[in-house]
Amino acid sequence: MGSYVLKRLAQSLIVVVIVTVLVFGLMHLLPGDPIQIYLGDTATPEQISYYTQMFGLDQPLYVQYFKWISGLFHGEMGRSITYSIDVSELLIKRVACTLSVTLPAFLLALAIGIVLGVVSSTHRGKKLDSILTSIANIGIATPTFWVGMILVYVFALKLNWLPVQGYVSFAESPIGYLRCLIMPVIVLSLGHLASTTRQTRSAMLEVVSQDYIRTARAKGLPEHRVVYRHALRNALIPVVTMLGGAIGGLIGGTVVIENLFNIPGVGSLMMTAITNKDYMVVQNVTFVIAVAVVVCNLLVDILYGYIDPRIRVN
Amino acid sequence: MNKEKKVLTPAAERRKEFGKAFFERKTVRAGFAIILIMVFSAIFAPLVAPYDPNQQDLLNMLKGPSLAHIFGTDALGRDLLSRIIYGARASLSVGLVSTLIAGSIGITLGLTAGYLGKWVDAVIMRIMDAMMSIPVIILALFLGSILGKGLGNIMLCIGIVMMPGYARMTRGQVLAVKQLDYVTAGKIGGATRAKNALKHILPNCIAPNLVLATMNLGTAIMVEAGLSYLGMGINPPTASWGSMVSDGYRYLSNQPHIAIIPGIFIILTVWSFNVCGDALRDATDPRLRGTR
Repeated sequence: MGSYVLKRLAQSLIVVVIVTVLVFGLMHLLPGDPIQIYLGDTATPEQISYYTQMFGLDQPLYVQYFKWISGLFHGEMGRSITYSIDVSELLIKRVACTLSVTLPAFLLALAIGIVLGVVSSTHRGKKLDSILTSIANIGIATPTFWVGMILVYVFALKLNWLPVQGYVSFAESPIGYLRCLIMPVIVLSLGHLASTTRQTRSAMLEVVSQDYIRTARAKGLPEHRVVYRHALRNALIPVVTMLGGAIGGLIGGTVVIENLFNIPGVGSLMMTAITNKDYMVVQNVTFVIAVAVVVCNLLVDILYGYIDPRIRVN
Repeated sequence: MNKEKKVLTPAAERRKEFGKAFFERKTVRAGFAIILIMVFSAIFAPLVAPYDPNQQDLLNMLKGPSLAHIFGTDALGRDLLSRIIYGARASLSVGLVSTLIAGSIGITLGLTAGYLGKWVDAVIMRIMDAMMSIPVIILALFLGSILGKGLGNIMLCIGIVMMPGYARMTRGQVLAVKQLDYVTAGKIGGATRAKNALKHILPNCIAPNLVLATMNLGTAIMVEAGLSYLGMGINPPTASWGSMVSDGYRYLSNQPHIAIIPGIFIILTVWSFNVCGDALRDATDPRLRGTR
């Protein structure tokens, strides 16, 4: 197990290094000059030259890359061209908003998805199963921004229960904070809720046909104990492997959700930064996201070994 | 009267069994019919669409559904039904071409990595892992910004983003197959590495990749819709379902149908590809038959 963890750790480090090269390369392939975009059409060549030097963009690409990487080792993320502040400062401000949406969405998708998956599998072939499976299939096929629009139309424009868009911090108004997060959280969780339901259902169906479940039933154990104690524990193993990917999907989803609901989080920051070619912001935000995904995948792989002893032995 | 029972060849028998397993569920039959209708509409759009999708009628802007315009009109008075029919062309071609791009590059890389192994495998798969660690929409935004808007660029962009999935799937298949006796026999028989990989290993990787491709058709349509919503999609005035939803958002309070109807078409199409992909997977894997 120890050597497996070390091997996975080394692989993850290599992946992170490749991500930095990939993002840096892609960023510099974007058409347009970020300084020109920042200063606008009226900028003089002197001004452009001054700012280009100030942000170190006049240096060779490999120097810029190594400066960025060495900065990361020292906890420095450089300065945003658009916002004229340190990227780390910008990120800290924005991360809170993004986590306010992604974390509840993740937990909601996981909790409800597992329950619905179990209910669906225990009612296999019955009407409830067909309804839940159909809803899950439609949920996976539905674009998040479209669901968001429907919710905005019903709950904000027609019923006037929730704000159309915007973000209020918890410190400012706890009620306002909750009100403005209800729709984004539901919308972001929907797709993942649907896939968790499907995954749990098929994993449960596979497990309940196994001999040890038959033995548990033959022993006279109550059905809820058989389902939740014996079957679900093993059925959750494939669901756990899905979590790493789900984190990436949720973070990616915030780009659309934050845009739709005008939430000042990392997703909307990323969108603006790509449009403005704000090198440091895009590079660092992508780096942080990729590290988060890689770490989650690593943890899931390690966790997988602990949950399933067969994997550990192999 | 003695009716002679027709004897089927093993291949025909297998095909019949596969067809029966594939069309077993009602939802699959419905999904398949929807795909056929969408494909037919997309191909024969000029014959099926009642109006020119880009023809503006400023006297009939933002009209609700009526006999003249079944789905109503948009902010420029363009017929929504005609734009949806032409939008099917854009969405389906993005789905199909980007899946072909992703599949052909991904399968080639996966085959190379799995067959050659060692450092080639390590390099290719770590690059694929790196691509997969960046969320799809963010990577697509990156590539979309570099390549620029337009149908061809969006196809390429989505194709590249979806490629790692095929590489990973093919590599796994290759690793399993290359240990088998007939591959070793091929090597002993003097087959070159390329011949062995292409003739003996590749055919065994096609079925799972075909299932993945069917499911990815829906994903590609969703990614295109997302990019169009974020303003990085197909250039206007070309109709695409994603950009129609995005344009309709501005008129949500008064004319919600402008955003709602194209969205329903996205859902129907993606759902159809997903259920057909599921059915294809179940039909090709006998263990999964009847589990859904």
